[in-house]
Amino acid sequence: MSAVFLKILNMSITAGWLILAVILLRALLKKAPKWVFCLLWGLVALRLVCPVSLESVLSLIPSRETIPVDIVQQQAPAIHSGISLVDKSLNPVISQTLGPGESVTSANPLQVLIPLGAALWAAGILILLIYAFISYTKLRRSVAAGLPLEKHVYVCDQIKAPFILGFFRPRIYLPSSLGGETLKHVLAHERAHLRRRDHLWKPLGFLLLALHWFNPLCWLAYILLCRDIEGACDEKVIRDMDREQLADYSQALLDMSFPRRRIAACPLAFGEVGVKERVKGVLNYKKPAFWVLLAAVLASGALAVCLMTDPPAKAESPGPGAEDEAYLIEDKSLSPKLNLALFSAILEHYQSGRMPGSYFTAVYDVLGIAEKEDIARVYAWVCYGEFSPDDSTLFREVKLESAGHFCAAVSFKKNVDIDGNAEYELLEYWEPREGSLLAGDIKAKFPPSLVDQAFDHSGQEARTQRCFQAAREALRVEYFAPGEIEALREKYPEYFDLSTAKGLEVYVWQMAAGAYSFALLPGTDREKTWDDLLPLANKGGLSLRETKAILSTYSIKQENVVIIPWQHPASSYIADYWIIPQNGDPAEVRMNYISRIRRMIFGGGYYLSDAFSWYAAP
Amino acid sequence: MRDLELGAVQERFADIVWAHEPIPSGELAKICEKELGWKRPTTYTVLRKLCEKGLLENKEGIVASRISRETFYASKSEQIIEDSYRGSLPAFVAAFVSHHGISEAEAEEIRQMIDAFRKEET
Repeated sequence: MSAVFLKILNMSITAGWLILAVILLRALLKKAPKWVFCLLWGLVALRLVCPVSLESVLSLIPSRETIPVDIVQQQAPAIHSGISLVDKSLNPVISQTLGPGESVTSANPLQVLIPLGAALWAAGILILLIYAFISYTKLRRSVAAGLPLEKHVYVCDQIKAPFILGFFRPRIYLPSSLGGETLKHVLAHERAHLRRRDHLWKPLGFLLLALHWFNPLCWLAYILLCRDIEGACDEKVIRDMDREQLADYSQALLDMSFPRRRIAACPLAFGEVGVKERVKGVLNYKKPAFWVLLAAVLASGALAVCLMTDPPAKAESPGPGAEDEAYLIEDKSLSPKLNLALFSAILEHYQSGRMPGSYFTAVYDVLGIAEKEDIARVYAWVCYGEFSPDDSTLFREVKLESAGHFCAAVSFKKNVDIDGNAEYELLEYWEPREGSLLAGDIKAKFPPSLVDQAFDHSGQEARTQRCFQAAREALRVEYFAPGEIEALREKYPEYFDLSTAKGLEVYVWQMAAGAYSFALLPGTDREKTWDDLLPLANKGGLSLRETKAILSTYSIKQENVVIIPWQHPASSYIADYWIIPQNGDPAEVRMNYISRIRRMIFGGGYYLSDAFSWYAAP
Repeated sequence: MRDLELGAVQERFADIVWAHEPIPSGELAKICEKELGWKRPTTYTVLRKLCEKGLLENKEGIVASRISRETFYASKSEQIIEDSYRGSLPAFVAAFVSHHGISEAEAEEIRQMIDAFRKEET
């Protein structure tokens, strides 16, 4: 209903211009016959009821849609009255007071006001229609007891003034006190009403007035319409009368207004016609000259063309995005400089919210680039993440502190130096507001062809993973995908879910220089025999990565993982661990070896247990 | 003798009663429907009004007059309407004039306008 209300509001405003013009024309063309004015009011009625109209460059209507139908969703609500003075003075006020506030949670006042207005409007219509219905019913009742005089003419005791009632079978009702000359004239006048179908136009006009009850110009138009209808009827009746008859007709008018019984003066109320003006009109009536008629017809024609048509639709207040549509370039890849500029812009934009010591990374997928003169604007999905290293687990992981996933429109000024190298200077980093405002903001800013992509959130997961990847690389974190670990579980079920109550033992042996193999066993006695290890070794032993992957499934402290070098009986390679140089310290040599292995697995660390690892001799 | 004021419609109705009295109200209604096109409630309303005015009476469903036709017409006075429809006509009704009074000053003004017009030579 709010949409209908806004449409009616807009129609009322455009019709208002037409009403003003008709009033002006009426004042200028005083000599014109009244039926011309009735036609003009007919045009006004058309404008008030017809939601569509033709477009023409000759249109004088300032704006085809003063109140945008989507004003509720607008970031900065504004009206387009077509008069820059009005727009400039009203729109800042409107945006301030009726626009959404700074806080994301504040509602746009228009979202409440407009439905409220629509409800009030509907209530007003209802009241007017009920009034009309009640008056009509009362009238009908009062003329029930009537005597037929002629065809469709009845005489009633209980009415004081003659009138017509009924739409499809209209009847003329006359007060029973009428007689003689007066009766003749009155009947002629009422019959003229019937021929002109006024008994239909007036109620229809009232219906339209009910729809537009909030517009004072419409009330004025209806009052003037009623006057013009009466005037046109008078003119129709007195056309061929001589002076004597004109005087008699005026007398009839007077008599009907001033019965012998005196009644206190009533001010001219709504819909009632001034008798004095009508008498004047009758007495001064002259058949309109040809040129007057011509002037009236031409003026009406001009009016119709200029005010019944709407101004041609130009692109409705486009946001920069709509204009950019024309400037989008084919190539969506960013030059290195632009890439860097974009990343810096993103970094700078989220700088203020960052935790100290965190690692920030962002990934973006470019939807489109618009270039116009020296401005380049990039439309992209931006996903950023703020990570910190998590050393609480066996292997370092990255912890996501905060993240965001937005569409952004980033504008740069492109400065090209004499060598042709381009430098990009950040002009604007724009992103939509959150919640219910998001859709409207994007539609206003993004080029139409990119809007659908801008609403497609399906890439969020992938982009977030890319952020994780970047963070891991930067923080030197190794990542074992769930799939990898599942494969290992299938291949080496014996290494999983071991009891860590007494720690874990990692046995390492070398088949050749630089070739390390591992086996994993619960740390029960530090003295595994060949019988324990050989089966595992013959299976091939774990690679370094496999070892790390499997270890990552355990929640154990690094110090409870014991590295134990082992000599594979089938291996011809003797590791450093077993080779003590002359005068060398066996403990030191062994410790060095174990430290090296620990570094390989965990990236560092030294634990007391390393000094006590030993190989149990067979 | 009461000064009775009847409108043309009431007079017509009274004529019917005088012509057919005494007459059961039901039959009266039928006659009114035939001759005037009135529905039953309309007939009864007009009947009630005339009973209030003292012209007719409705005893146990039989309608008769209390003042005879001759007596009535002998003392008929100028007809002034009472019980007229008081409210101003609704805006959407086509009429002749729709406000029911102008000031005497204005009426005088208009009267003079018309008189002057009549006296003018073309």
